[in-house]
Order: sequence, then C-alpha cells, then structure tokens
Amino acid sequence: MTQSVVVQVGQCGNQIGCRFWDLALREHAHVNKKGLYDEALGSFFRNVDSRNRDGGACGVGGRIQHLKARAVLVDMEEGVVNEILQGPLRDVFDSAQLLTDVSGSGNNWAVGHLTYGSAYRDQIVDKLRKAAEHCDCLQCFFLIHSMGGGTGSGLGTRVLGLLEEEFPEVCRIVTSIYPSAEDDVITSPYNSVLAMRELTEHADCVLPVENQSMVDIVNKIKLMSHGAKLGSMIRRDSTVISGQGGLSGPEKPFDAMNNIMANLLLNITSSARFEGSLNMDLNEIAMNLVPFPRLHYLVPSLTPLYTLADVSVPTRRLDQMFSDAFSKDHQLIRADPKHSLYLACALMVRGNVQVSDLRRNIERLRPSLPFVSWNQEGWKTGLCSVPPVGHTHSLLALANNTCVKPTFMELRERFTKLYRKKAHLHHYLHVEGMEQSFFSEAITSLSSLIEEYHQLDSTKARLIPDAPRLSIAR
Amino acid sequence: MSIVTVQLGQCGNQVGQELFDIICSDAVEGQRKTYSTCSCERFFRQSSHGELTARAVLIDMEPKVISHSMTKAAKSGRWRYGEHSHFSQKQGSGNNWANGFCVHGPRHRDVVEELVRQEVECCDRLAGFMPIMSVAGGTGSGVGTYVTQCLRDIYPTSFILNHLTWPYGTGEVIVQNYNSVLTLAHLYQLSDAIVVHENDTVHRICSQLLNIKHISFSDINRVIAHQLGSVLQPALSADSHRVYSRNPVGELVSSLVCHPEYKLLGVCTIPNMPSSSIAYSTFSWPGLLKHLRQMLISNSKMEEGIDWQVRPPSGSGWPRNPTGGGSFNTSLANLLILRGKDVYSAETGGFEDPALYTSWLLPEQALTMWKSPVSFNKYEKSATLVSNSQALLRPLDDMVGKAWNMFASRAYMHQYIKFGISEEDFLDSFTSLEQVISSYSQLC
Amino acid sequence: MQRSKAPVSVEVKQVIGALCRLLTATGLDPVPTPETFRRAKFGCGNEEDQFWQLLASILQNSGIVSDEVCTQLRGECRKLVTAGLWQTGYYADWMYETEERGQEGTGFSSRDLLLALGWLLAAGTLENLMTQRVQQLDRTLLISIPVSRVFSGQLPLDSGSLRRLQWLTGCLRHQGRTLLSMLQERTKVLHAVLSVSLSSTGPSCSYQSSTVLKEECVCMRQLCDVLEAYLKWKQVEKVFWTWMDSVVDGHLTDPVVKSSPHAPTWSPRVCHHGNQGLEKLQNVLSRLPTAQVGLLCMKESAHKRGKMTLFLVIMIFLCSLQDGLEPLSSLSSLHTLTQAYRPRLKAESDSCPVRRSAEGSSSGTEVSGVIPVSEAAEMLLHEEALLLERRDKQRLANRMQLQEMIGRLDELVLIPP
Repeated sequence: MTQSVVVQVGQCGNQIGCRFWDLALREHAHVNKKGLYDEALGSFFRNVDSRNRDGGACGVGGRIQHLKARAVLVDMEEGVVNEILQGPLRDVFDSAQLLTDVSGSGNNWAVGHLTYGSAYRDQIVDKLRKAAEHCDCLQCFFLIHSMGGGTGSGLGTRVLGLLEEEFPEVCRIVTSIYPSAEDDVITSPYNSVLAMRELTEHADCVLPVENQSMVDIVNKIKLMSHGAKLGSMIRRDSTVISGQGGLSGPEKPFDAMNNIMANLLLNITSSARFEGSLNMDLNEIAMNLVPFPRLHYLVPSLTPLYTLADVSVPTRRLDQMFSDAFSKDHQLIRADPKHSLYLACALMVRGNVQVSDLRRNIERLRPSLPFVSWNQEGWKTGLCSVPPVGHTHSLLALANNTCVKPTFMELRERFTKLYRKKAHLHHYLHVEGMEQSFFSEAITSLSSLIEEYHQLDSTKARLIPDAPRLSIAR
Repeated sequence: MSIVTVQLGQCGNQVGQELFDIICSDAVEGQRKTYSTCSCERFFRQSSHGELTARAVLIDMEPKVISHSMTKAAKSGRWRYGEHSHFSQKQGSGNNWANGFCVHGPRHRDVVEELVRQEVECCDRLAGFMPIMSVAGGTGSGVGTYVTQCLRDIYPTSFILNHLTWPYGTGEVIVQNYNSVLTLAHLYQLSDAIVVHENDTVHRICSQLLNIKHISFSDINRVIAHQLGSVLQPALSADSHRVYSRNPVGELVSSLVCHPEYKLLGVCTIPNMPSSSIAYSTFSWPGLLKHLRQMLISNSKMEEGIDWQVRPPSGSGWPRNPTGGGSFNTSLANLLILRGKDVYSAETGGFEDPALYTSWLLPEQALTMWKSPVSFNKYEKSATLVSNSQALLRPLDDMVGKAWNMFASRAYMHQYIKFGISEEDFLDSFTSLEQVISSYSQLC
Repeated sequence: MQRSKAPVSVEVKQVIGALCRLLTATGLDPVPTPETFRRAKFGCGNEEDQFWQLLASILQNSGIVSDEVCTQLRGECRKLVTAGLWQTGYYADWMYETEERGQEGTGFSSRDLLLALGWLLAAGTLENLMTQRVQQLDRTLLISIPVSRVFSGQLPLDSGSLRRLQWLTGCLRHQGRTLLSMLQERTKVLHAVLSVSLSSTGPSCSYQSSTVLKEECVCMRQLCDVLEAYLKWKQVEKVFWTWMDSVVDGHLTDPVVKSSPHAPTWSPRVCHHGNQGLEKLQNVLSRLPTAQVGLLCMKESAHKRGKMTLFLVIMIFLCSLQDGLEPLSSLSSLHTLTQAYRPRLKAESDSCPVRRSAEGSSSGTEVSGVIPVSEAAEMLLHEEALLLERRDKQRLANRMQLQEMIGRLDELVLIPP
C-alpha cells in the first residue's frame, strides 16, 4: 500500500492539518478495532517503538506502539504550532517534523516565497526527504495552505516548487483556501494571484476552497441542528463539521470549518486506504480529471453534510446525496457547476453503495449536467466499502468545471484594483529578489487561465459535430 | 491439457476468482469422474493431498485486490491460489495505459515471466494462456497488453485467448476509451482470439434476468464467470471420438478465429435465471435453441426483449440489411456449446442456415458444435454461443468514435506523452481499429 | 554346406530368444519358446498348435488377413493361416492338403510352419508389426487432427474467395500449431519419463504423481522394449537366417514324413510357372470375384507395357490384396510396385538364406519369365524419373499461375496475420 505525506504551511494550513490528524485518528480508531498497525493506518501514520530512540518504525501487522503522522509542519510564527504541541495531538508529531520562525511573513507573498523560501530551503528539503524516507512507496504529497496570507501563499507555493524539484514522480495535490472578498488582509489579492501562478504551473491538482462557502455551510448546519424538529434530529457525530470523538476537547472558533476540509482529505484518500469493489487510487484523480495540464482546479463538494437520526428512507436519501453533490449549496467554493461546463467529474463514494446505485444516479443526473463535447461521458467513479464515522455512506464529488472561472475573475478584478494604484507594491519590491515582472507575469498567467476556461465555456450549448473519422480505403 | 490463466488488474483478479470458483464447484459436484478429472486438469493442479490449486498467476500493481481474491479462494475450502504465484506492487497504474505498458510492464517483466514459467512447468500439457483483464483501467489494460506481448514472445506457438471486460459506456474511468483503443489495437496483433464481455450487457442480465436489486461488481463478475466457464468446461466435439477435447483454447481458436482481421468474440448463454428458480424451471432444447438463434441474428445478448422481427435475408439478390425491424447480425463463425440432459436429441439445424453466415464461408466451415451430457452450473440444460459476428461492431465503433473525438481536442494527451506514448502511437492504434471496424461492417 | 556347428548351436538359442522377445514385444501372445523352435526344426513334438497360433496372430495383427475374415474364420486357425499365407504369396503343398483332404496322414510337420514363419519374416512382416505397435504405443502420433477443410481447386478472384483463402490459411496455421504443441508435449513427456526412470533408482522420486504421466510412462517403456528387442534382433538376425537355412536344408534333404505327391522341387519365394502350382493358383484366384477383375486388368496393363511378366503382375496383385483389395489404377500401381519389389530387391543384394537354399537345391529349375531385379529396378527408376519430371512441370505451371494471380491482386491489401 502507498503512503502520503501532508505538508501544512502557515497558520491556516496548520489549523486545518491539526483537524485532519484528529479526524484521521478517529476514523482509523473506528475501523481498526484490533489495535493492530495495518496497511490502511500506514498510509498516513508511522508506527514507532518508543523504546527505539532513533525512531525505528515497526512493521505492518504488529501492535500499535506510537503513531507518528507523516507530516511536515511549516509556519513562520510559533503560535499555532506551539498550540498543537501543547494539545492532545502532541504525541503525533515530533520536533524533527516541525519548522518554525518567530517573526511571520507580514502577509507578504514575497517574504514567504523569497526570503523564507531561500533561508529555509535546505531545512525544508531535509524534512521532506526524511518524511519521504519513512515511506516505502510514497504516492502523494498533500499541501494545505491559504492563498491570502504571507506564509501560506508565499512559502507554501515555494514548498510546492521544491516538491516538484525533489520528487517529480510523486503526485502533488494542493488544498488551497481562497480568501473571501471582504478579507481583512489588504494584500490578499496580490498574494493570491502570485500564488495562483505557482499553483497553475507546479501542482498536479488543486482543490480550491473558499472561506465564504465554508461559513455558509457551517451556518446552515447550525441552523438545521438548532431548529430540529422531532424525528429529524441530526446525529451530532455525523456532521462534516463535527469533531466529536476526536482527541481534542472543546471546539475552537474555526474548527467547524476546518473539519470540513479535513473530511475532504479523508474522503479523497479513503479509496486508497480501504478496500472497495472499485478502487480509486490517488494517481487516478489527476489522470481522469485533468485533460489539459493547466486546467487542474477541481471543485469539491461533500454530501451528506449531516445525517438525520431517523434512518427510514435509505434509497431516497441515497439519491438525495447524489443530487446534493451537484447543487450550488454543497460546493466548497461559491460556484454553480450545473450552469457551467463540466470537463470531467469524479464521484468517490464511501459506504454501503452498490454499482447499480451509482449507475442509476449517473443516468438520472446526466441530462441536467452540461459536459464538454469531447467528454460527454466524463465520469470517474470509485467505490470504497468503509463509510466515514457516523454515516452509512457518503459522497465526494470532484468537478473539473468552468465554474471556477468567476472566482478567478473576481480575484483578478481585486488584484487589478490594487495594482492600478500600485498600492502596497513597495512592500513587495523591497524584498530581495522580487521584481515587478512577478506581478505582470502572474496576472498574465491568471488571465490566460481564465481565457482557457472561457474558450471551453463558449463551446457549451453549441452543437459540436463529431470529428471526422479516419476512413479505410478499400 | 491445461490452461494457464493470468489475472491482471482489479477486474481481472475479481473475474478470475469467480471463474475458478464456478469451475471448481461445477467440476466437483456429482460423480462424473472423467468430466471432473478433465476439468481439474485444465484449471487446477492437484497436490499430493488432493488440494486443488488454480493454474493462475495473479498480477496487479496494488496489493488490495489480490489479497482479497486469495482470501476469498482460500475461504471456499475447495481450492486456492498458489502461495507464491502472485505479484503486486504498492502503487497502481493510475488508469493510465501508458504507465502500465511503458513503465510497470517492462519494470516487472522478469518477475512476471518467472511466475508464468513456474506455472507452465506445473502443467503436464499446456493448451494455452488466458489473460483476463479489463480494457478501461491502467494495470489490466496496460500491463495486460505488455504481459500478453511477453507471452507471445516466449511461447510463440501457444494459443493465447484474451478475455476482456469492456467498461460501462459511461462512468467508470474517463480515459477508458483511450485505454481501450490502445489495448485492443495492440492485442489484435498479439492475441489469437479476444473474448469480450460488456459490463453494460452483463448489468442488464443481472437486473432483468437475475432480478438482482442492488447489483454489485461481484454479481457482474459471477455472470461473466458463468458464461466463460460454460465455454471452457470439458465438452465433446464432433471429431473428438467421445473423448473430452484436449485443447479447448486451440479448438476454439481454430474454429472461430482463422482470419486475422476478425478476432472479436462475443458470448451469450441461455438460460439465465436466479438460482432460486432454477429448480422450478424446465426447458426444452427446441425452445432454448430457437431463442438463442434469434438472440444471435438480432444481436440481443439476453433472452428477454428479443426482436423477433429480424430475419435472415432471403435469396442472394436481396439486400443483406432488410429495412424495418432491427438490423440483421451477420456471423462469420459460431461455436455452439450445448450442455445437459438429452443433449444429443437437440436439433441444431437452425444454426446451419447459410443465410446466417457471410457469403464466403460455408456453414459447415463456419459452425462448430460442442456437446456435453453433463449439465453445467446447476442448469439442467444450457446453451452457449461463442460468436465471431458483427455483434461487437456497434460498441467498438462507439468506443473508437468517443476516443477519436477526445483525441481531436488532444485532451489528456499529456498524461500519455509523459510515459512515452506519442500521438503517432495513438494514430496507429486508431488506424488499425478503423480497419477492424471496416472489416466487420463489410461482413456479408 | 559347411557350418561351424558348435558355436552356432550355442548361439542359436539366444538368437531365437531375441526373436521371441521381439515377437512378444510387438504384442504377440503366446510366443513359442526357443526350445520349441529347435524342436520344430526337426519336425518332432507337438509344437504345431503353438505355431498355428503364432502364425495366425501374426497374420491377423499385421493386417494381412482382414478383421472381417478373422471373425469369419474364428476358431479355424489353419484356414486362416492358409488364407493369409496365400495372400503373402507363399506356397506350399501342405496348404492344399489341409484344404482338400484335411490333415490326417499327410506329410506335414511343424517344420513346414517354421518355414512359413521364415517367409513371413523375410517378407518384412516383422517390420510391419513393429510399425503398428509403435504407432499404438506412441499415442501422440495418433491424435485426431481437426478435419481438414477441402475446397475446390479453381479459385475465382473476388474478395470473398480471397477472404476464404485467408481463413483457410489461418485454419491451417492453427492446425500446424496444434501439431507442434503435440510434438513439444511428446518431447516433454519423454524427458519426464527419462528423468523419472533415472531418479527412480534414487530414494526420492515419487513427486511426479500424475496419472497421465504414469500412463505415458508405461507406453514409453513398452516402446523402448520394442525398439530394444528389435535392435538386438537385428544384430543377430544373420545367425537366425543361417539357422533357417539349416531348417530348409533339413526340410529338403530329410523329409520328416513321406514326401507329398507334388515334388519338393520348389523355391519358397518364387511361384511356379507353367506347372500345376500355377494352375491351382489361377483356379483359386478365379474363385475370388474382385480378384478376377483386378487380375484381368493387371494382365491388360502388363500387355501394354509389354515387358512385365505375369509373375510380376501376380506379385503386384498379391500385394494389392494385402493393401485392402483396392482396384489398381495405373497411377496407384506405382506405389504398390515399390512395395512389392522391396523384399525381392533385398533378397538380391542380401545374402538371404532362403535364396541361397534355392540356389543350392533347385538351381536347375530356373524360372522362366522372371525379369532380373536389376532390370526391374531400372524400369522403376525410369518410371520415377518420368513422374518426377511431370510433377516438376506441374509445379512450375502452378507457380506461374499463382504469380499471375498475385499480380492481379496488387491493389488489394493483404494483412499478414
């Protein structure tokens, strides 16, 4: 079985990462009743014998000794990482996996990317290599970062570049948190656009997540659980925002949102970790969903967001799950995939769902979803038999859809607004190695990306004739 | 003689396991000594304690499915897989044919060849190879094609029968049409015969004939295994002088696939029904064969919903495709296998009609018959038709058409180029499949 | 006839033993012991029955007497032997006697049967038996090959025929591969047998437990036995024939019982011409309806050729009887001719004791009308050359035609399978 390494950069990245490790432990504890270190557990955790000081790992099949996360934690402040080290998850990490500084990046992409990127380059590479050495078949790096700040966007994308340099064979899946329009960081459009160029060029897949969508989803779930009527009680442990059953105690303000993204990562990797009748490996994601190398932004949606305590109508609820995955409300960015163009779509199903259920729902939903002419049957499916904790089944849909275009256009607009006035530009240009061309190239890259989506969008609703076939002379 | 099965990828390893299971339970049942001895020699090797071990090599690029299949086999208590006759890696081919064919295949060539060699050496008499794989994914299709190529190199005169599972028309793997085109184009040069099962068809059999509510992949695989088993179990041919035929693969190939442009074989069986109702049903040979014949000429893979309007064209001056009703499915060659009670009383004249076949082969050249008085897999009477006909033309044409459309926009090409498959390679594959399509569509 | 008696007599027993072993190995049962042979030489004892049986089973197994006749004559061993010997061209007076007068009080002993056996052995019956036995044991040679498909010789040049041709070619190729795999299988089994028999001397050997292998093993052992026995026999065959000479000598000089009314001046390998024997032979032949037709037709063809003697014709005819009573056409006669000549050619070149005895005792009765073997061989060679020439011409013509066809097919794409 393969292993994955999570690289969490910046405040946001580390907070999400922290929730991820908590929920990953909860999930494995739920599935793994024997307390043995198995292959599934091995994909994210090392099993270390505490008596063995040099961190020698125990083989698969033995008893769980000490689980260590396959993770590299990077932050240029100490706050969040220190909090983790004092919290219940402290045993999961050891100091060799951590890299911190004290002064922060000051919300400046250039500081993160260039200053810290150069200063800590060797240390970062060293920690990444160590993590990779602990794996006997490293398949994927998951990078978690935010786009708005300095460390996440700047150093995060620098780490991405290093990953490509050092491990060109290993798949890089990036979870990027896009700032809301009313983000309190004034330079966030600069940081995001500069980071976007790096993502477009160096990532295999990017799962864009927007803060605002998270907020909306969290609010909706809270509303449901407060206004619950008799018989439609929401099971507390079953919402995607719940961290119940994990190690952490009282929930912190962003925990609800971060849990959603932690669940996203768990579901993406479930088919690679657990058994299923139709496996979907991590390298299949990029293979199936990325028809052109730059267009690798995959819009995620998770359903169900919660389960009702009452479980009387399973089939209807199952079909509802599939419908929801395509509704506007369930997307993790603010976008409407149904009214844009699908390039490809993956359905990763967990739990007690059969291939016939899958087929029925695809047939049912297909007519309402516009697909690009050359990929009318662009569906990729995976069936994993182990459901998430608290659910009988769940679905993660990943859509390569032109609906990301508005988000990118909005970002470009905000960037242009600032850039036209040259506002705060000097903060960036002060940084050694930073040049104005970085800005112009970044905005050109974003524009051409938008243009590519636009080109595809324009084929929508046009009847594209089939390409003339080769004919055989008789 | 023995057949060495090579199970490749998730699909191949699941189908193979079901196949061995059905064959084992069918052979062991009852007191038909020669039948079960012959069947066992074909598919199993027997240890000194009488334990049956499948003559199979299991190959996958990730370990989960193989270990699952091996456990399932061991649990059956009747047979198991060889302890060492499997090979898996940690990481799959990621649905990428190029990754399987250009990277994983060559990298593990020696190990796989050694495993196959060991299995071959356990055979007193080798009839041929049967690689089982899907065409959609990366390991089954890519590594499968590569392994078939190795087998062809090492055993140039052995018969190789590839069993392929074609994916659902939609919704399994997005690049399935690319992978299928590359696989089929290559196998057409390497294999002696290609037996095809379409997931869509089998799915319909499960839902409409077997009345399965929630169809799982193992239901589908079981139907495929049943059909495949009914072809490969011992049977008597016209010139085998009451001895079970020695080389089922060779005989199948020699009777159905003598022309290098026509290698695609479809299988249909009759009857199919839920196991609970088998005991309460009786069948008559005339009824079964009448249905089977109409299934053949109207190209329906099930006994339900047959188009009875389709008739063979009458007279030589008549156009081969009559207007109205469905279109007539012209056969090149058919192999009719009858199993069960009163098999020698069955009247098979309907299949000897020259109108069923292409004008350039006589019915006696085109029709082969195998019979066995032993009933198969609990069915008192059952008939199987392996047919080299236009039946697969439509799905093949769809597959190539979709892949070509995608290729026209060069979508996903970078994923293949990355592993060393160029646009030229794609074009070559397209060309050779268009040739196949053209050959089959001009069959008359 | 000067012979070093002492060493021979010691040897003879072993030599005859070798023959007996060979006969047993070819599947004949029962086979008389060497001692029985020895006694038969002197025509004493009651060995006749054993020889009747032996001759009968030889004639039966080698297919000289058809199965039909065998079932008809079951129990009548003597009739069967007489009929069989007739068909091989053997003549002896006792054959009439048993037919006409029964056997009581005739000049007949087991030595006569021994002589008949000698004739059969000299005529190559032993090799026939061997071939059959080998085919029986070597089962891989006997596998039913898929029925070959026949199509008309004339090919019209449309695409349909082209495809049919390609189909048939493919069919042949598959059959070729099937045969090849059988051959490989055979080699493999042989190897397995060898290794099993080698390792069977060692303590650990019995892991190969396949029943198939065991069966093949038994067959292979028997096969080896046959071949070994034959080899031994071939090495000592000369001695046997020397001994046989002595039997003939004994027969001629020292008749056991009173001589038969027909003079003993006969050569066992040559039919008599212009005497009673021929008349009788012709009588017998004319009683067989098919035989008559064949004979007449052969006579005609003989006249046409002008050179062929009646004797040759009869020889050919007898052989054709042996080959299952096929009516002889002038073309197929070539095949039978060569067969018919084989024992005689050998007799010419070898120092065959039978011939020597003929020279020694009845050189005066030189049979008229027999062409010398050398002349016959020349004729045959000539004939063969003519046929070869015809064949080559035909081949050339075919090739030309084929090339012409291929030329016309230039625009069609042929895909090599």
